[in-house]
Amino acid sequence: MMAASVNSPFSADDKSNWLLYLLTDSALPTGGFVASSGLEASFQAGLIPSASTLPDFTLSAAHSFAFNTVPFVRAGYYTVDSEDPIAALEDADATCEALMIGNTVARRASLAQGVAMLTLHIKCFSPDDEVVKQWKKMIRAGKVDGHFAICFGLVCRQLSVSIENTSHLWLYLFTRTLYSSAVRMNIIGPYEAQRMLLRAKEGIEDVVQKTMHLTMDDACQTNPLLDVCQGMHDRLYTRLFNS
Amino acid sequence: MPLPIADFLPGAGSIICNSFGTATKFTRCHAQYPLKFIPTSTHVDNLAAAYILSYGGGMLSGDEVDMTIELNKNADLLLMTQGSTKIFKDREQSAVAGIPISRLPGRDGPVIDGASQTIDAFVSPTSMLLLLPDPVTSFKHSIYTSYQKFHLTSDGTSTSQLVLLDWFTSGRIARGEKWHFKKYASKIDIRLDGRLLIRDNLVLEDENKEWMPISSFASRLHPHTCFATLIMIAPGQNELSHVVQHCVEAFDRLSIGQVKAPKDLIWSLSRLRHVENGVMVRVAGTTTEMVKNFLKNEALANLDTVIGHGMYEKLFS
Repeated sequence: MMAASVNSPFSADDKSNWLLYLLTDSALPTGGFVASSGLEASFQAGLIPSASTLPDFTLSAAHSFAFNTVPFVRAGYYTVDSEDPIAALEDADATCEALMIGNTVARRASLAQGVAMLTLHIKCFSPDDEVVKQWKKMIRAGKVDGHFAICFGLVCRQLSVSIENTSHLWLYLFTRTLYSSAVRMNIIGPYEAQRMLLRAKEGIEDVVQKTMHLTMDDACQTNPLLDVCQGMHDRLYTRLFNS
Repeated sequence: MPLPIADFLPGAGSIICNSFGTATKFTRCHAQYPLKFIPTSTHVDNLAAAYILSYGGGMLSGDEVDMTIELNKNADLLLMTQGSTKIFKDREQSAVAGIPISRLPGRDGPVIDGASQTIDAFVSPTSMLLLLPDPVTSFKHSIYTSYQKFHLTSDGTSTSQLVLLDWFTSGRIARGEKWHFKKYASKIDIRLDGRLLIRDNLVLEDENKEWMPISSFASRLHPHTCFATLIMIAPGQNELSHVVQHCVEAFDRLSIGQVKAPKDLIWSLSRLRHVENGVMVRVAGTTTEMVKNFLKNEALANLDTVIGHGMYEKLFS
């Protein structure tokens, strides 16, 4: 079992490290490849005039993303502790949906990746996980929406990843997606992307610390400009990404 | 029928509207200092209207404004402000701004940090509520929290209608104050028959430990200085639903190309899937004027068919 301390996000446990490496693999089949974390719309809107402005943009996008979604990752993570995990999942998902309904593009990305995450868990990690199987069934039946943050928290919990590592991983994946999308959009080159991703560590960890204790009712966005831009995605004349 | 809040507390107010055939009247329209309501006429059948004011044109740290609004069967109401709501850091700041305010004590409990406003609105299935204030302007170092809750209802045939505009600026630009406030938080909850359907929660907070000329959030918003959220819910087929449809069509017609520098006015629209003719529009502009013109000419075009031409012109003047 993991004994992660807050100061070192990754514990010394070999098994947990192997699992974390797997979860960060960009070949992981969760459909994240088509999502740009809001980068494409922002870039086309002229918000990233040069490669050197990308790190600041990334940090501010991650800040808003964390305040918006970390409470739901945590909620998903702790649902299995309640008497009725499915009811707890429904409650968290309904609140998440209310926040997402005002952003069609982000919502679409969240729903696609949510069910993909559950599918991955069932097919690869735990075919007998009853809670995850039931939750996926309800999503497929259209009874609930199935947002990504909650599914992610749930799956990580079922894999015995610590809550600190779960939140850290969640933000890492967002940041990594943003930088690899930037490479595919030719904003930066691959070496530059890796250098920026490495340098992003401190700022991202700071953001994780700020959001670790937020409740679902505290979930908010902190960047209205980014919010407008992301909503513009479907009206872009040419686009590479789905969201 | 919800119980009226204790509207004798400072900053508390309650409005109850009932319709009598072709006229919506105020069964109650009471506000306690420093809040004030001024009813006005729309010259439109069945549409009541009132201005919401704060004495001194703004809110001080420690001010709490709590409004309860209740629209009963067939009652329609338009609420507006008279000029931008200013959020002051403290009494000294408002005095320097040339606006003397004296404030009565009277609230129990600890002094809250900053100014706060809550609105609790209950809307019957056959009623329409339009909340169209001027933008909020937060002064340097100020803290402001707003929580607006709308309880919409349906009865099988009809559903409540709502137009809600929530917007703010970067501060007193003329004095060089751009994003110099400490905190601006605005939360909107919309429930339908008790179920939370839509939540919008924006928090801009300066995370710098000491005050710096550039707040921690300023650079992420550059170059825009005015942000607006417009929510419209108009199930059925009526004047308001045509306003919504017009807005949706304007968005669907957009074909956005790559630009090197941000445009002065950008906007996007999301359909609110769980209600008929429901949209959330988000706007960002480099000036307040641009956002206002956009709202008048695009997002709320044809709103004059709902609130009358006179009111429409006054609103966007």
